[in-house]
Amino acid sequence: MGDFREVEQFIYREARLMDEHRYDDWLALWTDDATYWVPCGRDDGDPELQVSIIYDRYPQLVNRLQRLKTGKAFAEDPPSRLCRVISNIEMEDAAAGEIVARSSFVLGDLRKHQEVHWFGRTLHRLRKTDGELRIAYKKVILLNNDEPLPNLAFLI
Amino acid sequence: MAGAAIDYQDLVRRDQVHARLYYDPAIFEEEMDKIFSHHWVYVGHESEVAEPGEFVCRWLGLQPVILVRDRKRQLHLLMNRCRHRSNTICQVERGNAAGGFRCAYHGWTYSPSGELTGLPYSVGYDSRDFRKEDYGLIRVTIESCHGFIFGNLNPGGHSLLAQIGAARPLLEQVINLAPAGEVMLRAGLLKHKYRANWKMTMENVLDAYHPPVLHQTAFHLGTGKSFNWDSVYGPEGNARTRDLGNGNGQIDFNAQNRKSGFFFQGLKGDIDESAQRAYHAGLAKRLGQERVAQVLGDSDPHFSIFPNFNYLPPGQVRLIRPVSIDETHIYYFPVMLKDAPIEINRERIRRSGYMHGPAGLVAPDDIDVYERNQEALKARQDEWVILRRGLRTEQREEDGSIVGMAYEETTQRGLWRHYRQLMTRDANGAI
Repeated sequence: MGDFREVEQFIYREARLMDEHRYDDWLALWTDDATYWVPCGRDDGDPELQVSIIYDRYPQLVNRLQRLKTGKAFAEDPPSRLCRVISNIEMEDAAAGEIVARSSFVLGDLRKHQEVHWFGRTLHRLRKTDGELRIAYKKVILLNNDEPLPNLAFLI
Repeated sequence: MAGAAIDYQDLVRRDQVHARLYYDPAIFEEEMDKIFSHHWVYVGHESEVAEPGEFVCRWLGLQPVILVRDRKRQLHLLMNRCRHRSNTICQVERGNAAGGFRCAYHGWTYSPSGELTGLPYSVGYDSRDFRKEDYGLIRVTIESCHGFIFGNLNPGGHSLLAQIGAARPLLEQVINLAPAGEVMLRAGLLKHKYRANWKMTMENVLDAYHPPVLHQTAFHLGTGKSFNWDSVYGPEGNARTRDLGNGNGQIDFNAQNRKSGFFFQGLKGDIDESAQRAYHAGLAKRLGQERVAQVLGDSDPHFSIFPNFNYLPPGQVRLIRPVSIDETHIYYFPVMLKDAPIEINRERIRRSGYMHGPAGLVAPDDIDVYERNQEALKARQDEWVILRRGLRTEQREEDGSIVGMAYEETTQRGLWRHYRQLMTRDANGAI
């Protein structure tokens, strides 16, 4: 069984890196074969056959962050102020020594005097690489994934 | 309406438009009538409701409608309003209603084609002043072109094809990319919203002056930093803006695509070669080998049909939904090519979300700009928005379209010219 405390601290740390727009530090948390999925219009389905809000393999994720880092991704200029609260963490062992962690979040997103509240559930599949936990797969189920969304140009 | 009539001749001039067109709620109300209730409005694609009973909920301006295919496979556009005491008879945005619609309030039932089929205690009505056949769901006229369906509450003798006009070959350009000659919009949709006027997105989608500036970060990812964007968008570039008439317009990348292959869509390279070969063979079967290179060279066009339809590379339809004077929703549909290898369609679906949509690498920057536009319109010292670029140099071509350089405002002027015609037409709807 993976160490619950370690998994919990990992998820909190990831949340803080996203809140603080620490793109390089956040990218370092991922394995280089990772998949990052935010489904659209439903909580599941086949992301190869249905469009997604985000469906990145590692190379697309790298490009996404590279763009944000230029400072010319205007939807994040000025950047959103973010504060998320993570809770309801559950953990189970998965195949190949990986760990599945489920959690919920509430996220406050403040930009140019507009405050948006986001809610969602996250599934992480974590893998130990060189003794450190890494994200091999992350799926974010937004409460409002079938609604018209405002810009989601920060990390979720 | 209280107050003096709005003088659209004055607000919409040949080379500039007044800020009030974006912020006055009275103008929005008139648009909902004169444009969205007296003009062809895009509501969906036939493939979205391919099976008997399938429906999607859409809008004509603010008015809720249901696009549905009945059990005999006929398409209908019905008002989502029970004829009894007004109640939405359909609560979900998509699904199958082969069994019909039922109002939850008093139990009136309607067939998928809109006939009133039953009501509890019908004895309560007198046959002298109530006949069931008079109380079917209100039906809206629809016409379609290559599977793209438009509704019109008051067509008044104007056909859809007349409205689409010179944009029709671009819809053909789209379907010719599919080996079956048909496209499918069944890969879901992204929904985006912004706090600004709906016309900003119609103007922006035909604006080829902004991409090298606003979208430079996304473009660099696609082409590398060394790519010279002036060779596309600049004075020596091959891209053009094209006013197609009737408020329709195009950013014409065809010459650029023929010269440089698939341009920034980059479909080459990312897709397995055997899948590409199978795709080309599929196209050749329908079009003949001669035309394959041309169809692939032209690739996905970039154009819009007034007032709420956009088509963009890499194969995406956008439906614009005005919500209020300063709120708009955009629905983005990946366009799949029927009978193309799955690898091609997978890549189109993936790119659609990656480029556009609320977390895309392109669309959010446009959205942020619209909101900045709307905020700046509160500055009331000089209220004119200038659209003068290329006014003296644009050229009328043989097919009647007006062509400007990529960085000229030919298409915006065309859009506003049609808008002014619609907003000033008489009570009979004549333009």
